Amino acid sequence: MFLKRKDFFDGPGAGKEGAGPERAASSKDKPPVAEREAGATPGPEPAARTQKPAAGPGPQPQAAERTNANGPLPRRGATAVRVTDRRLEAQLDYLEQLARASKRGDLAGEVRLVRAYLGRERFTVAVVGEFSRGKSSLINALVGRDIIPTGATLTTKVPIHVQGGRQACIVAPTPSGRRIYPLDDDGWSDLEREETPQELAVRVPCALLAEGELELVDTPGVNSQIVNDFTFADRALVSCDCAILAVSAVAPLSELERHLLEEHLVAREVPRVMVVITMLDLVDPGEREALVEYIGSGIRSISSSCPIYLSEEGLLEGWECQSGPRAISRQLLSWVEQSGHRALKLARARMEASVIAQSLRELFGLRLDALDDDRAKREEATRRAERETLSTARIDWGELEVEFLNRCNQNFERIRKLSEERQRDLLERFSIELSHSPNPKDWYQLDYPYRMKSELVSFGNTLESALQKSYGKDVTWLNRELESRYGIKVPPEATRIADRELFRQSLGQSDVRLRDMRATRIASRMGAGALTVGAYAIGSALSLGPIGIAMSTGLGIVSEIVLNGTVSRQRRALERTLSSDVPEIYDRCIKTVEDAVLDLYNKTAEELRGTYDSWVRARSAAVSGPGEGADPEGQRTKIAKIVSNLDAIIERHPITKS
Amino acid sequence: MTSIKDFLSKINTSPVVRSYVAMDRGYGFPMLSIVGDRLLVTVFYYRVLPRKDDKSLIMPPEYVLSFDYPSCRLANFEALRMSPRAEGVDFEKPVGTFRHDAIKDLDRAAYQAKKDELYALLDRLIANLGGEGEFTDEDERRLAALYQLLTEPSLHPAYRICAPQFFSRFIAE
Repeated sequence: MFLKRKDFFDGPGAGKEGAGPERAASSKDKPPVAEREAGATPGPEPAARTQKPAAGPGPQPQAAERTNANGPLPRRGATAVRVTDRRLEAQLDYLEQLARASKRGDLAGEVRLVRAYLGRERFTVAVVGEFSRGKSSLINALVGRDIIPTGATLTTKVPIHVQGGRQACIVAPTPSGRRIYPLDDDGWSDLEREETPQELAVRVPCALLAEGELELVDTPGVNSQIVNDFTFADRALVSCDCAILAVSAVAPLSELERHLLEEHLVAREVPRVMVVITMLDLVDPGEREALVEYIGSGIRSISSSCPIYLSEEGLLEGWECQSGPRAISRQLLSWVEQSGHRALKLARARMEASVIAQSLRELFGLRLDALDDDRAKREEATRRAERETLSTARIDWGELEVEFLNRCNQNFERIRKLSEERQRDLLERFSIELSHSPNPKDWYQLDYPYRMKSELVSFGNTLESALQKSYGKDVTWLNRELESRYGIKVPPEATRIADRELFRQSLGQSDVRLRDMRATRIASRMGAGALTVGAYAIGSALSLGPIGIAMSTGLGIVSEIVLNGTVSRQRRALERTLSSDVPEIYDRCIKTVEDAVLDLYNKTAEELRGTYDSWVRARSAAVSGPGEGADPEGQRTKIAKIVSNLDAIIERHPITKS
Repeated sequence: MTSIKDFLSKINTSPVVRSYVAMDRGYGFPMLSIVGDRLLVTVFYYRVLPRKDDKSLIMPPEYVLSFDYPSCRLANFEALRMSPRAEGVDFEKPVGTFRHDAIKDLDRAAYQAKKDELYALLDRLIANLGGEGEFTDEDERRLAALYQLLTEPSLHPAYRICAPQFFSRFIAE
């Protein structure tokens, strides 16, 4: 064993100030409910109030997160239980109503997130193991009816999520939504005939699933399709709260099962693990005890805390409390209860509600002050309200701006891709044209600039249209966000991105020294003609006529070979030049276009900042007090009542974070 | 003792990385974590799309791998594209650009020198965790400073997710 200092990250030396698990519980790091629900998001970090760490993957336990009610919400893999609390729900309704009435879309959104957090998720139990170890049979036994066909059918090929529901059915996701099948043999047959989905859900009325808010996940057996493929098991284990390893008594604790337990369950810190021995009835009664003891010792050597159960009752004396589906269900339910997940989740949600109530309390408190106080005080309250509004909204706006500029970055990638494609096509086209050109010099001086120019103009138009479309989409997104949160919009900029002149300007061709092949060809033909005449004359003088004919033919062939060779060399030289020139020309254009894109997005971002300032002013005016002609006394009573209600909520769930 | 550099090069050429991690992905700085009695080295792989003038685009991490030290046995593999935990992540959207402001002034050689220094300090830390040698408070401060300098801020959420305790101790500012 290599490691000698196991407590390095745990001890007080966890070092510097603010480090260590407790740091995760600070308000700065508190993740928004939705983010925590969705799990890990290794994307850019949102800023300030909503700047919070995503709970996520990684091999390390997060003890503080699991035990501290005021810390970040529990990790998805560790805790996920739907919680209901009528009083809290009523409070949330009230807070949402107030947030809407005071046009605080951001706070209403937070309330919705808290509600979604409470309403979602179940305590997930993944049943894993090698193939044919009785996983599906175990789930059927736990549910109390045969819902999953056992054997090597489709059902064993994809994970099946068994959940409580009012009607028994199979739900298969499709590209356009989902398809429902009846939960019977016909349903499974129909499903098998159609395209295999990635996963399935089975809804069934079942006391265990409904009361315990449990979800059982039947995973395809390891080795069932690909040898040593743990993909399905791992995928189920990532998001489960508990795992059951099904071990068959017929093939007790194989090497693979040991590996599965050690590497995929214990090492990956699955919060709770149980081993269930199946098929014990197939073993001779006299051998059962020794067999169970053998499996038990093997499991204890890997994990001492992992409980062992038998899938059926009455098979082994002394194991009555740990035999059968009822005992297993009891253990699962006790884990749900003991884990404190419900309490933790509820406490967390209450604290969130309290934070929202606090924000609303400040807002209404200021209104109350504004009503109560004289003009000077009212102005002071207005300023305070402005500061308050500013500080809470600034972060939200900042995030929108960052996201908008991030979208801008994606355009660069798009431009580069488009340019690379066009360059490749263009070079190919030039190469073909050159291969047909008898005089490369003419082509390079006359045809190439024209072709390049028309290509660039076309490229400019394509870029313009693509970028404008993309910009339009991004502005639409921005406006949708702004409208839903603040009821305002920013106008899009109407500027051309790919400047026409840029794509029409002269190319600045490289200086390539090429011989004019037309003149060379004429000269060579004249030379060959003269030599032929000479050869004829000499041949006639010497009475050797055939020599003249042979020489004229030979010279003609040689001159053609030489000329063709020269043309080929010129083509190769030109291709080399083009392959370096064309990318350079494109790069030049692209760089300017990228700057223009950035400029355009920056202008919109600037507009966004301007709109933000106007919004802040408008908000400040809105919180500054009642308008002309309002009934100050009636309004005061109403607001005072709201403030006292909010105080009650805050008092009931005091905010313990900084 | 296997140096962290050798260890990384060993895992980078291991069958698991060769088979399951796309070829053009590079790895971030290694992080350590302790699980039971084992020391795990966690790295994530991500893509960088090269651009001129410090505008290279950093894409979100796609794979997270943890290896047992020093055996190099794979302890954890996660393809984030398929992971439900990275459901909301757009893997085609850059999360930032390289180089970040803190290292803009470093040339290639200076950057490499800092990286080597970080690896040397990590070697000392690993040795210390194995009961050999010293790892002083000064070393720890220096290692943290180097991590904070060299790691891309846009990837910090990924570092935090992969090894929260290591992140808190050495990377978080």
